[in-house]
Amino acid sequence: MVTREELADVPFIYDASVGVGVVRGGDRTGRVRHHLEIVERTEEDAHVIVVRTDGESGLRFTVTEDDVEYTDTTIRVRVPVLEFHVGPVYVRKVKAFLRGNVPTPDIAGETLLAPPGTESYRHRDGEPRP
Amino acid sequence: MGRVLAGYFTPNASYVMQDHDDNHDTSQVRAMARIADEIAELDPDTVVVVSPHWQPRSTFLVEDSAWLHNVNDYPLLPQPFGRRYFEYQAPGDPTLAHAIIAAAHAAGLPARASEYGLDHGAFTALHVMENNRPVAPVSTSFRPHAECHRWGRAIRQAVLQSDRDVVALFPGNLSHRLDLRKDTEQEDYDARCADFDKVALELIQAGQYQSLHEMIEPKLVAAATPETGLRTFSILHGLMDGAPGDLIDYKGYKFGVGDATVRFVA
Repeated sequence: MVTREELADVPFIYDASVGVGVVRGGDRTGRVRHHLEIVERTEEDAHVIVVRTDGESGLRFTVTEDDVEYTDTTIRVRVPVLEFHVGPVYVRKVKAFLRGNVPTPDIAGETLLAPPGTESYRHRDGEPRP
Repeated sequence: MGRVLAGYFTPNASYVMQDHDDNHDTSQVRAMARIADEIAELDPDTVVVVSPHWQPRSTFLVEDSAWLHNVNDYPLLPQPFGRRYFEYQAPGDPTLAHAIIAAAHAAGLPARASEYGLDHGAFTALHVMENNRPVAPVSTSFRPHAECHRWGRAIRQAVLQSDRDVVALFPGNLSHRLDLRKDTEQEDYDARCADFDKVALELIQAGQYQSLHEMIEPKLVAAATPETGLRTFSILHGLMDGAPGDLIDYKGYKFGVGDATVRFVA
Protein backbone atom coordinates (compact mmCIF):
# COMPACT_ATOMS: atom_id res chain seq x y z
CA MET A 1 0.00 0.00 0.00
CA VAL A 2 1.32 3.44 -0.95
CA THR A 3 1.49 5.91 1.96
CA ARG A 4 0.96 9.67 2.09
CA GLU A 5 4.59 10.08 3.14
CA GLU A 6 5.74 8.43 -0.09
CA LEU A 7 3.66 10.99 -2.03
CA ALA A 8 4.80 13.98 0.02
CA ASP A 9 6.08 15.87 -3.04
CA VAL A 10 2.85 15.52 -5.03
CA PRO A 11 0.84 18.79 -4.91
CA PHE A 12 -2.56 17.05 -4.79
CA ILE A 13 -3.50 13.50 -3.91
CA TYR A 14 -6.76 11.74 -3.16
CA ASP A 15 -6.43 9.27 -0.30
CA ALA A 16 -9.45 7.01 -0.74
CA SER A 17 -8.50 4.89 2.28
CA VAL A 18 -9.88 7.73 4.43
CA GLY A 19 -11.76 9.73 1.76
CA VAL A 20 -9.54 12.82 2.03
CA GLY A 21 -7.99 15.10 -0.61
CA VAL A 22 -4.64 16.64 0.32
CA VAL A 23 -3.28 19.84 -1.26
CA ARG A 24 0.34 20.77 -0.58
CA GLY A 25 2.17 23.84 -1.78
CA GLY A 26 3.61 27.16 -0.80
CA ASP A 27 3.88 30.81 -1.68
CA ARG A 28 5.58 31.84 -4.93
CA THR A 29 9.08 31.41 -3.56
CA GLY A 30 8.26 28.25 -1.64
CA ARG A 31 9.33 29.72 1.71
CA VAL A 32 5.95 29.30 3.42
CA ARG A 33 4.48 25.82 3.15
CA HIS A 34 0.74 25.15 3.37
CA HIS A 35 -0.97 21.81 3.88
CA LEU A 36 -4.69 21.62 3.28
CA GLU A 37 -6.85 18.55 3.83
CA ILE A 38 -10.31 18.37 2.23
CA VAL A 39 -11.99 16.09 4.73
CA GLU A 40 -15.68 16.19 3.86
CA ARG A 41 -18.07 17.03 1.02
CA THR A 42 -21.25 18.33 2.67
CA GLU A 43 -24.85 17.71 1.61
CA GLU A 44 -24.74 21.13 -0.09
CA ASP A 45 -21.47 20.34 -1.95
CA ALA A 46 -19.45 22.70 0.25
CA HIS A 47 -16.20 21.25 1.62
CA VAL A 48 -14.82 21.02 5.13
CA ILE A 49 -11.09 21.76 5.05
CA VAL A 50 -8.32 21.63 7.63
CA VAL A 51 -5.43 24.03 7.04
CA ARG A 52 -1.91 23.72 8.42
CA THR A 53 0.86 26.23 7.71
CA ASP A 54 4.49 25.42 8.46
CA GLY A 55 3.50 22.44 10.60
CA GLU A 56 1.12 24.32 12.92
CA SER A 57 -1.95 22.57 14.31
CA GLY A 58 -4.92 22.59 11.99
CA LEU A 59 -7.61 25.23 11.57
CA ARG A 60 -10.95 23.95 10.32
CA PHE A 61 -13.19 25.82 7.84
CA THR A 62 -16.10 25.14 5.52
CA VAL A 63 -15.62 26.57 2.02
CA THR A 64 -17.92 26.88 -0.98
CA GLU A 65 -16.94 27.14 -4.66
CA ASP A 66 -17.07 30.93 -4.32
CA ASP A 67 -14.38 30.88 -1.62
CA VAL A 68 -11.74 29.51 -3.99
CA GLU A 69 -10.12 31.32 -6.94
CA TYR A 70 -7.85 29.86 -9.60
CA THR A 71 -5.29 31.05 -12.11
CA ASP A 72 -3.23 28.76 -14.33
CA THR A 73 -0.68 28.28 -11.55
CA THR A 74 -2.36 29.30 -8.30
CA ILE A 75 -5.16 28.16 -6.03
CA ARG A 76 -6.33 30.88 -3.62
CA VAL A 77 -8.53 29.89 -0.68
CA ARG A 78 -10.12 32.90 1.05
CA VAL A 79 -10.72 31.60 4.58
CA PRO A 80 -8.18 32.92 5.48
CA VAL A 81 -6.27 33.88 2.35
CA LEU A 82 -4.01 30.99 1.43
CA GLU A 83 -2.24 30.78 -1.90
CA PHE A 84 -0.80 27.56 -3.35
CA HIS A 85 1.61 27.96 -6.25
CA VAL A 86 1.44 24.70 -8.17
CA GLY A 87 1.53 23.56 -11.79
CA PRO A 88 -1.52 23.94 -14.08
CA VAL A 89 -2.23 20.20 -13.96
CA TYR A 90 -2.67 20.37 -10.20
CA VAL A 91 -4.75 23.56 -10.33
CA ARG A 92 -7.21 21.72 -12.57
CA LYS A 93 -7.17 18.63 -10.33
CA VAL A 94 -8.01 20.64 -7.18
CA LYS A 95 -10.60 22.77 -8.99
CA ALA A 96 -12.41 19.67 -10.25
CA PHE A 97 -12.20 18.03 -6.81
CA LEU A 98 -13.88 21.05 -5.22
CA ARG A 99 -16.61 20.89 -7.89
CA GLY A 100 -17.76 17.31 -7.44
CA ASN A 101 -14.92 15.19 -8.82
CA VAL A 102 -14.16 11.78 -7.28
CA PRO A 103 -10.74 11.04 -8.77
CA THR A 104 -9.00 7.74 -9.24
CA PRO A 105 -7.27 7.59 -5.86
CA ASP A 106 -3.57 8.02 -5.34
CA ILE A 107 -3.99 5.86 -2.24
CA ALA A 108 -6.59 3.19 -2.94
CA GLY A 109 -9.59 2.57 -0.73
CA GLU A 110 -12.93 0.98 -1.27
CA THR A 111 -14.91 2.58 -4.06
CA LEU A 112 -17.43 4.88 -2.48
CA LEU A 113 -20.98 3.62 -2.29
CA ALA A 114 -21.79 6.92 -0.57
CA PRO A 115 -19.72 10.03 0.14
CA PRO A 116 -17.21 9.97 2.96
CA GLY A 117 -18.47 11.51 6.16
CA THR A 118 -22.00 10.13 5.82
CA GLU A 119 -23.67 7.37 7.79
CA SER A 120 -24.05 5.25 4.69
CA TYR A 121 -20.32 5.34 3.97
CA ARG A 122 -19.59 1.89 5.32
CA HIS A 123 -17.29 -1.03 4.96
CA ARG A 124 -18.32 -3.62 2.41
CA ASP A 125 -19.36 -5.98 5.23
CA GLY A 126 -21.97 -3.42 6.32
CA GLU A 127 -20.18 -2.26 9.44
CA PRO A 128 -19.67 1.50 9.98
CA ARG A 129 -16.30 2.86 8.89
CA PRO A 130 -14.19 3.55 11.98
CA MET B 1 -36.67 17.36 -33.53
CA GLY B 2 -33.49 15.85 -32.14
CA ARG B 3 -32.68 12.16 -31.75
CA VAL B 4 -30.73 9.96 -29.36
CA LEU B 5 -29.01 7.80 -31.95
CA ALA B 6 -27.23 5.37 -29.63
CA GLY B 7 -25.68 5.01 -26.21
CA TYR B 8 -22.52 3.19 -25.18
CA PHE B 9 -21.30 1.96 -21.79
CA THR B 10 -17.50 2.06 -22.08
CA PRO B 11 -14.36 1.54 -19.98
CA ASN B 12 -12.93 4.72 -18.47
CA ALA B 13 -9.64 3.66 -16.90
CA SER B 14 -6.70 5.85 -17.86
CA TYR B 15 -4.63 2.78 -18.85
CA VAL B 16 -6.88 2.38 -21.90
CA MET B 17 -5.48 5.69 -23.22
CA GLN B 18 -1.96 4.44 -22.67
CA ASP B 19 -2.73 1.18 -24.49
CA HIS B 20 -4.27 3.12 -27.38
CA ASP B 21 -1.42 5.60 -27.72
CA ASP B 22 1.16 2.80 -27.52
CA ASN B 23 -0.68 0.75 -30.18
CA HIS B 24 -1.32 -2.17 -27.80
CA ASP B 25 -3.85 -4.52 -29.34
CA THR B 26 -6.21 -4.97 -26.37
CA SER B 27 -9.87 -5.90 -26.44
CA GLN B 28 -10.85 -2.53 -24.91
CA VAL B 29 -8.96 -0.57 -27.57
CA ARG B 30 -10.51 -2.69 -30.32
CA ALA B 31 -13.99 -2.17 -28.84
CA MET B 32 -13.44 1.60 -28.69
CA ALA B 33 -12.25 1.63 -32.32
CA ARG B 34 -15.41 -0.22 -33.30
CA ILE B 35 -17.55 2.32 -31.45
CA ALA B 36 -15.66 5.18 -33.09
CA ASP B 37 -16.51 3.70 -36.50
CA GLU B 38 -20.16 3.32 -35.52
CA ILE B 39 -20.33 6.92 -34.28
CA ALA B 40 -18.75 8.16 -37.51
CA GLU B 41 -21.49 6.32 -39.37
CA LEU B 42 -24.23 7.76 -37.11
CA ASP B 43 -22.74 11.25 -37.55
CA PRO B 44 -24.16 12.92 -34.41
CA ASP B 45 -24.05 16.68 -33.86
CA THR B 46 -23.00 16.30 -30.22
CA VAL B 47 -21.69 13.62 -27.88
CA VAL B 48 -23.25 13.69 -24.40
CA VAL B 49 -20.89 12.11 -21.89
CA VAL B 50 -22.08 11.10 -18.41
CA SER B 51 -19.02 11.07 -16.17
CA PRO B 52 -18.80 8.48 -13.37
CA HIS B 53 -16.15 10.64 -11.68
CA TRP B 54 -18.36 13.75 -11.42
CA GLN B 55 -20.53 13.06 -8.41
CA PRO B 56 -21.92 16.09 -6.59
CA ARG B 57 -24.22 15.41 -3.65
CA SER B 58 -26.77 18.23 -3.77
CA THR B 59 -27.55 18.48 -7.46
CA PHE B 60 -26.88 17.39 -11.04
CA LEU B 61 -24.33 19.40 -13.01
CA VAL B 62 -23.74 20.25 -16.67
CA GLU B 63 -20.56 21.73 -18.21
CA ASP B 64 -21.69 24.69 -20.33
CA SER B 65 -18.31 25.99 -21.53
CA ALA B 66 -17.82 26.64 -25.24
CA TRP B 67 -14.38 24.99 -25.10
CA LEU B 68 -13.50 22.05 -22.88
CA HIS B 69 -10.10 21.10 -21.44
CA ASN B 70 -9.34 17.84 -19.71
CA VAL B 71 -8.50 17.25 -16.04
CA ASN B 72 -5.91 14.57 -15.26
CA ASP B 73 -7.76 13.29 -12.19
CA TYR B 74 -5.76 10.08 -11.77
CA PRO B 75 -2.32 9.32 -10.32
CA LEU B 76 0.40 10.58 -12.63
CA LEU B 77 3.70 8.84 -13.26
CA PRO B 78 6.02 8.16 -11.50
CA GLN B 79 3.51 7.40 -8.74
CA PRO B 80 2.61 3.73 -8.16
CA PHE B 81 -0.07 2.69 -10.69
CA GLY B 82 0.41 6.15 -12.26
CA ARG B 83 -0.29 6.89 -15.91
CA ARG B 84 1.10 9.43 -18.32
CA TYR B 85 -0.21 12.97 -18.67
CA PHE B 86 -2.74 13.13 -21.49
CA GLU B 87 -4.08 16.18 -23.27
CA TYR B 88 -7.61 16.32 -24.66
CA GLN B 89 -9.69 19.31 -25.74
CA ALA B 90 -13.00 19.60 -27.56
CA PRO B 91 -15.67 22.16 -28.36
CA GLY B 92 -18.59 22.23 -25.92
CA ASP B 93 -22.29 22.60 -26.67
CA PRO B 94 -23.55 25.38 -24.35
CA THR B 95 -26.97 25.48 -26.05
CA LEU B 96 -27.68 21.81 -25.38
CA ALA B 97 -26.14 22.14 -21.90
CA HIS B 98 -28.63 24.86 -20.97
CA ALA B 99 -31.50 22.90 -22.54
CA ILE B 100 -30.60 19.91 -20.32
CA ILE B 101 -30.67 22.12 -17.22
CA ALA B 102 -34.07 23.52 -18.24
CA ALA B 103 -35.45 20.02 -18.83
CA ALA B 104 -34.17 18.90 -15.42
CA HIS B 105 -35.85 21.87 -13.73
CA ALA B 106 -39.09 21.05 -15.57
CA ALA B 107 -38.80 17.52 -14.15
CA GLY B 108 -38.39 18.94 -10.65
CA LEU B 109 -34.71 18.07 -10.33
CA PRO B 110 -31.93 20.23 -8.87
CA ALA B 111 -29.49 21.05 -11.69
CA ARG B 112 -27.10 23.83 -12.64
CA ALA B 113 -24.16 24.70 -14.87
CA SER B 114 -20.58 24.31 -13.67
CA GLU B 115 -17.23 25.24 -15.19
CA TYR B 116 -15.56 21.89 -14.59
CA GLY B 117 -13.80 20.50 -17.66
CA LEU B 118 -13.58 16.87 -18.74
CA ASP B 119 -12.39 14.47 -16.05
CA HIS B 120 -10.83 11.16 -17.09
CA GLY B 121 -14.21 9.49 -16.64
CA ALA B 122 -15.33 11.62 -19.56
CA PHE B 123 -12.24 12.14 -21.70
CA THR B 124 -10.69 8.65 -21.71
CA ALA B 125 -13.25 7.30 -24.17
CA LEU B 126 -13.25 10.54 -26.19
CA HIS B 127 -9.44 10.52 -26.45
CA VAL B 128 -9.25 6.87 -27.47
CA MET B 129 -12.02 7.36 -30.05
CA GLU B 130 -10.22 10.50 -31.27
CA ASN B 131 -13.48 12.44 -31.03
CA ASN B 132 -13.49 15.99 -32.31
CA ARG B 133 -17.25 16.58 -32.27
CA PRO B 134 -18.85 18.96 -29.74
CA VAL B 135 -19.22 17.41 -26.29
CA ALA B 136 -21.83 18.06 -23.59
CA PRO B 137 -20.44 16.68 -20.29
CA VAL B 138 -22.96 15.96 -17.54
CA SER B 139 -22.48 14.63 -14.04
CA THR B 140 -23.73 11.55 -12.33
CA SER B 141 -24.57 12.28 -8.71
CA PHE B 142 -24.90 10.85 -5.23
CA ARG B 143 -28.63 11.69 -5.46
CA PRO B 144 -31.09 8.77 -5.09
CA HIS B 145 -31.40 6.27 -7.94
CA ALA B 146 -34.96 7.37 -8.74
CA GLU B 147 -33.72 10.93 -9.28
CA CYS B 148 -30.84 9.64 -11.40
CA HIS B 149 -33.37 7.85 -13.62
CA ARG B 150 -35.33 11.11 -13.99
CA TRP B 151 -32.04 12.88 -14.78
CA GLY B 152 -31.54 10.49 -17.68
CA ARG B 153 -35.13 11.10 -18.83
CA ALA B 154 -34.58 14.86 -18.63
CA ILE B 155 -31.44 14.66 -20.77
CA ARG B 156 -33.35 12.57 -23.32
CA GLN B 157 -36.24 15.06 -23.30
CA ALA B 158 -33.84 17.97 -23.86
CA VAL B 159 -32.30 16.21 -26.86
CA LEU B 160 -35.68 15.28 -28.38
CA GLN B 161 -36.85 18.90 -28.08
CA SER B 162 -33.64 20.24 -29.62
CA ASP B 163 -32.34 20.17 -33.18
CA ARG B 164 -29.43 17.91 -32.15
CA ASP B 165 -28.73 14.30 -33.06
CA VAL B 166 -26.82 12.89 -30.12
CA VAL B 167 -24.78 9.86 -29.13
CA ALA B 168 -24.50 9.32 -25.37
CA LEU B 169 -21.46 7.81 -23.66
CA PHE B 170 -21.72 6.22 -20.22
CA PRO B 171 -18.15 5.46 -19.14
CA GLY B 172 -17.68 3.33 -16.06
CA ASN B 173 -16.56 0.04 -14.65
CA LEU B 174 -18.73 -2.80 -13.40
CA SER B 175 -16.76 -4.17 -10.42
CA HIS B 176 -14.33 -1.55 -9.14
CA ARG B 177 -11.91 -2.63 -6.43
CA LEU B 178 -8.74 -0.61 -6.90
CA ASP B 179 -7.85 -1.43 -3.30
CA LEU B 180 -7.43 -5.10 -4.33
CA ARG B 181 -5.32 -4.29 -7.39
CA LYS B 182 -2.06 -6.21 -7.66
CA ASP B 183 0.77 -6.31 -10.15
CA THR B 184 -0.46 -9.27 -12.19
CA GLU B 185 -3.84 -10.32 -13.53
CA GLN B 186 -3.60 -13.73 -11.79
CA GLU B 187 -3.01 -12.13 -8.38
CA ASP B 188 -5.85 -9.72 -9.03
CA TYR B 189 -8.64 -12.20 -9.71
CA ASP B 190 -11.59 -12.04 -7.31
CA ALA B 191 -14.42 -14.54 -7.82
CA ARG B 192 -17.05 -12.28 -6.20
CA CYS B 193 -16.26 -9.43 -8.59
CA ALA B 194 -16.32 -11.78 -11.57
CA ASP B 195 -19.71 -13.10 -10.39
CA PHE B 196 -21.03 -9.57 -10.00
CA ASP B 197 -19.93 -8.63 -13.53
CA LYS B 198 -21.64 -11.73 -14.96
CA VAL B 199 -24.96 -11.09 -13.18
CA ALA B 200 -24.92 -7.37 -14.03
CA LEU B 201 -24.23 -8.01 -17.72
CA GLU B 202 -27.07 -10.55 -17.93
CA LEU B 203 -29.53 -8.00 -16.51
CA ILE B 204 -28.19 -5.19 -18.70
CA GLN B 205 -28.60 -7.31 -21.83
CA ALA B 206 -32.16 -8.13 -20.76
CA GLY B 207 -32.98 -4.44 -20.34
CA GLN B 208 -33.52 -4.95 -16.59
CA TYR B 209 -31.19 -2.29 -15.28
CA GLN B 210 -33.41 0.57 -14.10
CA SER B 211 -32.81 -0.51 -10.49
CA LEU B 212 -29.74 -2.69 -10.92
CA HIS B 213 -28.68 -1.93 -7.35
CA GLU B 214 -31.85 -3.66 -6.07
CA MET B 215 -31.78 -6.59 -8.48
CA ILE B 216 -28.38 -7.97 -7.54
CA GLU B 217 -27.68 -9.63 -4.19
CA PRO B 218 -26.57 -6.83 -1.83
CA LYS B 219 -23.51 -8.74 -0.62
CA LEU B 220 -22.34 -9.15 -4.21
CA VAL B 221 -22.81 -5.42 -4.90
CA ALA B 222 -20.99 -4.58 -1.67
CA ALA B 223 -18.09 -6.88 -2.61
CA ALA B 224 -17.76 -5.41 -6.12
CA THR B 225 -18.35 -1.71 -5.16
CA PRO B 226 -19.31 -0.78 -8.76
CA GLU B 227 -18.61 2.78 -9.86
CA THR B 228 -21.26 5.35 -8.89
CA GLY B 229 -23.03 2.65 -6.86
CA LEU B 230 -24.69 1.68 -10.19
CA ARG B 231 -26.34 5.12 -10.56
CA THR B 232 -24.84 5.28 -14.07
CA PHE B 233 -27.28 2.54 -15.09
CA SER B 234 -30.26 4.34 -13.57
CA ILE B 235 -29.33 7.39 -15.70
CA LEU B 236 -28.66 5.17 -18.72
CA HIS B 237 -32.08 3.51 -18.40
CA GLY B 238 -33.77 6.91 -18.41
CA LEU B 239 -31.73 8.33 -21.27
CA MET B 240 -31.89 5.22 -23.47
CA ASP B 241 -35.55 4.49 -22.67
CA GLY B 242 -34.72 1.09 -21.18
CA ALA B 243 -33.24 -0.33 -24.37
CA PRO B 244 -31.54 -3.71 -23.78
CA GLY B 245 -27.77 -3.70 -24.03
CA ASP B 246 -25.83 -5.38 -26.83
CA LEU B 247 -22.51 -6.62 -25.43
CA ILE B 248 -19.55 -5.62 -27.59
CA ASP B 249 -16.71 -6.63 -25.27
CA TYR B 250 -16.08 -7.92 -21.77
CA LYS B 251 -12.45 -8.13 -20.80
CA GLY B 252 -13.15 -9.93 -17.54
CA TYR B 253 -12.39 -8.85 -14.00
CA LYS B 254 -8.73 -7.84 -14.15
CA PHE B 255 -6.53 -5.21 -12.53
CA GLY B 256 -9.24 -4.42 -9.98
CA VAL B 257 -12.00 -3.49 -12.43
CA GLY B 258 -14.56 -5.10 -14.70
CA ASP B 259 -14.24 -3.52 -18.14
CA ALA B 260 -17.25 -3.97 -20.42
CA THR B 261 -18.38 -2.22 -23.59
CA VAL B 262 -22.11 -2.31 -24.33
CA ARG B 263 -24.23 -0.71 -27.07
CA PHE B 264 -27.79 0.58 -26.49
CA VAL B 265 -30.15 1.65 -29.26
CA ALA B 266 -33.57 2.91 -28.16
